[in-house]
Amino acid sequence: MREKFSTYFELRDACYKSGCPICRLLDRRIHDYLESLMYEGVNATSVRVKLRDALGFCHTHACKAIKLGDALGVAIIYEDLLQLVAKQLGEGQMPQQAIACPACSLRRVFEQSYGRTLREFLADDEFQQALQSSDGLCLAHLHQLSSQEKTIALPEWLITLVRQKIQQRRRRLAEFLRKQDVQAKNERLSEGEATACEDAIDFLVGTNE
Amino acid sequence: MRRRNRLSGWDERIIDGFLGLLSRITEDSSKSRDPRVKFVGYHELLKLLGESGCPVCTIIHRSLLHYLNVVFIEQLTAPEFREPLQDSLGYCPKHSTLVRLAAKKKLPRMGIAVVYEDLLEQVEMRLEKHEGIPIPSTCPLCGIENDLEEYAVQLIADYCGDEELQQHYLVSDGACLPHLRMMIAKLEGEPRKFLFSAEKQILDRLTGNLQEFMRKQDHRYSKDAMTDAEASSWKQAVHFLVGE
Repeated sequence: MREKFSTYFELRDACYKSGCPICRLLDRRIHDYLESLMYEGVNATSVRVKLRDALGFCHTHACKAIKLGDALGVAIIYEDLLQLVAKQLGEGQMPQQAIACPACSLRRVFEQSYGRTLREFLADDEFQQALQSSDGLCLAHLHQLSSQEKTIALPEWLITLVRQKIQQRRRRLAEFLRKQDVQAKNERLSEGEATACEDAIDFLVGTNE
Repeated sequence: MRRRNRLSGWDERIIDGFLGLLSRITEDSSKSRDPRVKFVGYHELLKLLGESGCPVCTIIHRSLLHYLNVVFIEQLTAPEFREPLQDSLGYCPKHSTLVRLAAKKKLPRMGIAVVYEDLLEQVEMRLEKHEGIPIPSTCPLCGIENDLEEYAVQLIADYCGDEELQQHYLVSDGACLPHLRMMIAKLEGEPRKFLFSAEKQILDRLTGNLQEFMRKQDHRYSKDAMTDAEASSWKQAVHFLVGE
């Protein structure tokens, strides 16, 4: 096993927060990327050339850029793109994307890096302890992990952990449903029960939308 | 050749109840409609052009949200709904966003809790049997969305030469770039030329609003009144390129 490095510590710390640790870190990375791009990269030539080639961000990341709320940054980038598209439409041509969304490309790189690190330290006691106290990986990242483990199946303790986390989620959903009944109208929903539906969806598909 | 219809009769009835015009999805969509015959879909389209955003995106978004509200409340035990969902282990990430939106209301939320509890049980059972991490099959809503998209794009393409529609189109927000691409691919001659020139005009208007919005961010002009169109132009610009 390699010496522990920053990605390991990031992953370990993310286990002590809510949701799939990989999804959480990827969301953070993309948020930071978009925030720094809007704050200090809007006029950087290399950034703008990439965005022109990609015709802006994909739907998911464009919506994330809107949510950041930096209206002027978005306006500067997209005014340029609209002019480019209008020019081509004026010439009777349909604009085409030359490269993929830059945020998607970055996300893929980080996703692979976190996946590699997770696999590398899966046998580490400290990391196992962190994973035990986490909400567990989402199904998409579990699948990614199992497809990377070409020769070895996922360890039994991890499968058991995933099953325990699923059972917890099912219990919260069942409690949420029980408390919808008129006979339980005076019982308050706990925080976990109130978000049980969203949590179940996040487990099945991750949080990249 | 008749186009393969992905919407089952069951799915279609649910959506049809909402728009009242989608029964035509099952018709041969490769055959153009007679533009002199204006049916309910045409008038719905004119109404949508009066609203903000891409009309194709609006048809898809509203129909899918309606579909989810109906199935999670009224069709919870229908095998036509539950069986494909068990294979796909819920919806894809894109359509799960719509499910999260539907979950904001109490009644569909209860249905969502029932369905997702069942899906989690399925995953747990597979893990218990050591069948490995389950791989979801195709999202059922993706097929429905493709059909709705095809329907709405074809509807605009069919009436693109109609004068009344052209007038409405020119003052609307137009179609987003992905849907414009699909429409252009279906058109030739004058209607194709019209669509290129109309979208160019719409885009020039949007760019003008965007430039005004940017100018008014400068402290020297910050006291100049901003119109609603200027204030929302930065979001509209994004949605033009990627859809709603």
